[in-house]
Amino acid sequence: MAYCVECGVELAPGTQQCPLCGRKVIAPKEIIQEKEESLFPSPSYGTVRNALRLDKYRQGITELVLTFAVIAILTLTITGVAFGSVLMFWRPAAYIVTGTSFFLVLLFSTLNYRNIATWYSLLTILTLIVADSHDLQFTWVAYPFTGLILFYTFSVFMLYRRIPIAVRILISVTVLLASLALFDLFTHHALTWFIPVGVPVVAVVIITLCVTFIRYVKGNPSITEMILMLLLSASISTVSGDFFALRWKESDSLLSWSFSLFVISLLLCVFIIITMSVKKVRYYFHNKIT
Amino acid sequence: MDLHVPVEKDLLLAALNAIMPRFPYFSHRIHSGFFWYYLMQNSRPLEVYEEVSAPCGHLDLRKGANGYMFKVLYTGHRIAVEYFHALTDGTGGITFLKSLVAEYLRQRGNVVEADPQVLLPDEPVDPQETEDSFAKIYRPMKSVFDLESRAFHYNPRGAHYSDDHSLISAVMNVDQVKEQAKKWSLTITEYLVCEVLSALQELQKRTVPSEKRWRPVRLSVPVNIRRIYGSKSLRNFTLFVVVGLDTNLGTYSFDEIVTSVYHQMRGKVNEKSLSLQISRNVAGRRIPLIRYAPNVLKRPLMKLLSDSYGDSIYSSVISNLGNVTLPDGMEKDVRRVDFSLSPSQKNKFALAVISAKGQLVLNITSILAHNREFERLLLVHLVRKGLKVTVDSNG
Repeated sequence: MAYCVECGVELAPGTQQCPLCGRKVIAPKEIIQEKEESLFPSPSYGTVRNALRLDKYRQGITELVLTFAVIAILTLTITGVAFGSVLMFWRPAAYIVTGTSFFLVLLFSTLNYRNIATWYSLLTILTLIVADSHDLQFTWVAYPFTGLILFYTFSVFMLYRRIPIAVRILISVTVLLASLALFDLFTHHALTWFIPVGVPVVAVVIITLCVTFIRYVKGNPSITEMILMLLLSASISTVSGDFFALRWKESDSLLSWSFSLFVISLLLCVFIIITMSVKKVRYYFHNKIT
Repeated sequence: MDLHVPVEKDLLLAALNAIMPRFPYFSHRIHSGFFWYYLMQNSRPLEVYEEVSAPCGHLDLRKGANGYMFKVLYTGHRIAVEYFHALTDGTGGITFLKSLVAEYLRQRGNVVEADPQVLLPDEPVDPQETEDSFAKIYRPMKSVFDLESRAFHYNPRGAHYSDDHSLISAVMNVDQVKEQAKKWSLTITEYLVCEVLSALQELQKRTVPSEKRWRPVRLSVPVNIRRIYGSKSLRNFTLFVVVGLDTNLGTYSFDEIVTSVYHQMRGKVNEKSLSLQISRNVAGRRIPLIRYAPNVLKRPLMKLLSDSYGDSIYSSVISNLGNVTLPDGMEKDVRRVDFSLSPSQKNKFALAVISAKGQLVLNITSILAHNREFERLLLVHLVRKGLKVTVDSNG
């Protein structure tokens, strides 16, 4: 009989390869011998999976949660029937369904930020729709709905690395503009402040962020400088909001409440320019001396 | 059991039908009621099936074997029986298989001598064989649940899993293993437990690089308690003791493993400790709140408890059925006896040991497809101890 030179075990007659390490047997036929009847039927590996089947623990929790949910819904339905209408308690029943789904998502979905955020955004929207559906008249759900879409676009969609960054930014800006337009529509039932205030402010935000991004890519800035530039972008955008709002209201003054912020923006701007210049001057003289 | 003679389906079915009246408890099927599971007499015809898939596969209790909780399988020279554990344990299982093979050989014309584990079809049924020994020996005891921490579980990266279990079979000489065990003043089971714990310790070292994330390595060892309680029951009457090493305290040498296992086994395998375990197991079903809770609640709760107090606290299972004696008239026709266990989703491999005809067969079944790291570690350990190990596999 043959032995595996790697593991030291004797191999059953007819074995061409060590079952433990996979090393091929190189020996005369007399040593390998004829293969006897197979020990057991070979595994077909027809259903090879990359993940384990649901373990008993998760299975147990799932069954328990579903049992309680079904019992609760049945109780509500029976109570509804007793009071004369099957659908009387449909909202608490819908809350039970969404609440159970929140829990089951944690058990079944792959636990990563993107998955959980996507599922939870969807379920939150569903829950809010149920909460606002009194007499099937929707009143306030549009606001959190728009907010959730904005959250999803900037916190989840921006992380989709497979989509080119330019496309991601373009879609996000479009979503932002659309959300602002919707806010305006929901509040005033017509586009009022969106074009004179919303669009220019978004443009300012994009321009300031682009400048910061270009500086980050081309200029090799320090972390302090980047933080200062982001602060500057935020303050300029806020000031622009005040500025365009006053233009829309046809006010005479250029700025109202954001004047101090404007001064801070100027100071920040001067400070950043000085820091950058000093750096360049230092490099210039340093090179000259050496 | 592998035979030297070919297996004929019709003859095997006739042998099965002949011995079934001798095993009345085996002719039950499980029925799910509202409050609990019932055992009902099964009047459907018995069948034998060709063994086509890997051992210890899924047994469909409704349709799989006409509702029976066991399945008789055959191939060219082999007769096998797969059992659902609620029906019986290793001892009951081997008694049934031996009786079946003996009857088969008898129908082929062999004269099979008497053996305590070979039950004859024309014998009267001993009521003790069908009794629930747990309920019989139960006495209320004040018991405290020892909460064990989670043990090490082998979770290789990028692994592939399959419901078709892969099997590595290692054949050793019983005398050689006994001699090796005697060197350390251990029984064969204890010696193998030491070797497996040593391999598991090594496996954890290799697969979990951060020592902070190491967990204790533990093994669940089924104990045949019939001898202790003098039971003749063929129903499930087995208990498990969990022995292990706390690897957070450091790496154990083989000497240290031997000392630890020796004391743990003797501390746990005695009438008092086992009675406490039985009291705990049986007490649960006597509480009216649990007894009359609907099955829809009991079933998921039991799954939670089984994972928390069962599979989670040990890394694998090793069961030794001991030496199987074969009576005259049977010995010459039986080539080899095998025993395998079904691995679980958490404990990805299970070890089963059986000895017959001077051979000790260690079967390692695993749900891992194409991964033999643990099997290799264990068997190379045994080879280094000077044991001659012959390895075969099903894939």
